[in-house]
Amino acid sequence: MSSKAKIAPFLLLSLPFLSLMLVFVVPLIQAVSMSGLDFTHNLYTPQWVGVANYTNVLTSPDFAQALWNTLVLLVYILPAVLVLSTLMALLFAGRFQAVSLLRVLVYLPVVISMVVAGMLWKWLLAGEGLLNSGLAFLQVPSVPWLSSPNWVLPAIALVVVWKASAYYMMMLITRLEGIPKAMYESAELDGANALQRFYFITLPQLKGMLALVAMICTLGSLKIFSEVYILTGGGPIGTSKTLIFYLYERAFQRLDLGIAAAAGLIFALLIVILTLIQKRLTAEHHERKGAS
Amino acid sequence: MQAKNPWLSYLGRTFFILIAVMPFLWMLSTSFKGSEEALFTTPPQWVPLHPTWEHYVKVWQALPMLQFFVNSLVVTTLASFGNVLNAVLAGIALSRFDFKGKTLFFALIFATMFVPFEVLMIPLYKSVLQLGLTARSGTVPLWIGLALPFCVSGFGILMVKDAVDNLPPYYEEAALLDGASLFQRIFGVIMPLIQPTLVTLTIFSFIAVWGDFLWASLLTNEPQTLTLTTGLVQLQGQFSSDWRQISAGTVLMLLPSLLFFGVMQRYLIQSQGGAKG
Repeated sequence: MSSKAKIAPFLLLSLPFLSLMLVFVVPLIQAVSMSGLDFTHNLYTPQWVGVANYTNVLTSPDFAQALWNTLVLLVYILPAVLVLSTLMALLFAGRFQAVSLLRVLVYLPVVISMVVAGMLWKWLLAGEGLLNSGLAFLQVPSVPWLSSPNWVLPAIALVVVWKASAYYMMMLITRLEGIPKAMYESAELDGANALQRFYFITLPQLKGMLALVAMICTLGSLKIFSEVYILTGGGPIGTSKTLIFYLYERAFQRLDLGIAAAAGLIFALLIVILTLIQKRLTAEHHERKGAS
Repeated sequence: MQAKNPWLSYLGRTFFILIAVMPFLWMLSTSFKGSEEALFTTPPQWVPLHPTWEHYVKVWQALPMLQFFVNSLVVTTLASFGNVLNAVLAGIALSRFDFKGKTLFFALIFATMFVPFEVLMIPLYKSVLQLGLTARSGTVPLWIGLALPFCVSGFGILMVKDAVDNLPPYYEEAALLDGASLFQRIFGVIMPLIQPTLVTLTIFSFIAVWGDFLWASLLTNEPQTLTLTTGLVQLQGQFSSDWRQISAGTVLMLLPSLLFFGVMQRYLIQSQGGAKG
């Protein structure tokens, strides 16, 4: 029995461990070693170049542009998602049959794939699409949503926010429904209006979940790729290329695998740093809550 | 919830539902519009003036839609099965046993959550080529290659571990006294008890793999090898600028997701409170 109990965990872990080796550990080691190689002269016998790929990426204007575009998208997306998903959660919380039926409808954009969402919106945003024909009806001139460098990032952000908000709404609703009804009732007795109740009861109770939403949304926004690939292909003139688009282009169009691997690892480092900052911020928040 | 003014919340709900549903309806409307019918009209024309099926017929004939569907379905099923199986095995090992290297295994799991897939994608692509898991070796190897990166996730393992942690050990102890083997206890006792978690994990995994585009776009290019997502992008190339046909194709490719959602919505948008009780 006891010897059996000793090997049992290893027996259970053998398949997960092998899978993790195959799809995580080995590729990660390979990525690190590839990032020190130059594949541009010969794809099959790459040359060792040390950290040259890293310095190349960090000094490349294309990478800087991709990083900038990604951060701009994040700046558009994150506040919009936080505000809209909170508003939606307030509107669609509740156990009534009718409300949960409506919830199915607002949740639709979450269920479809990003590629389908991209297609739907490519047609809405097209030159002769719904948005422009609506604008024409209001006597407003057409907007070149996807073909103007000024409009392309807001347009992509719009698609992402449309697709993701209901997902975060569901996370917030689970938290909302955990807030004791008595808190609202006593506040109402004290004469607090709806806005005050939201600010002093709902918002503090939602804070933890909002931090989680912010974190997931940030990580998701940094990885934007398919939507750009479908909506604009990175254009016009590279103004919508994101970090992952840059990586994809270097690896699979230019076959510059060393540069792509180095860019990927820099990207991973960026994510680790952001996650740690976020963790620190939420931890501080909890400490303060504990102290008060 | 704090509905002092019901009209305001009705208005708000209507607004968000319209925004969510409108793109679907517009696509549907476009897909039925006749070839001579103008697409750009003021005000926008929602009901087709000359409704026709012809775009659906054209798209169905031009692309092997059923093959796309089968590819997507098989790959998604393979990956979700692998993901759930690995999550159950590792989750139980981590929750119920103490063993040498446990901390190290935890570290490995957390590491997988930090490193984005995009970083591993290039070496993974090379490995898949070397293992012959591409269309060149046949459909089955391609399916395995497409499913491979999604067959294990740190997130899934932690989810199952958490569920098993919250399970009192009495049931398993009783089964152990009855002489049940380790695998009988896992499949007969633990798995039925953590069923809600497994359903959630399966759905998450299904949606993620079904919607994958990046990985599938690397391994597929011939029409017969495409999944629904990569096929949809192909559609754009095939019918370059005729939005009526692209719309018809998009609607067709959207149907399986809607069907899946229709069946699963009870689990998907049920609030956790309901699931717990």
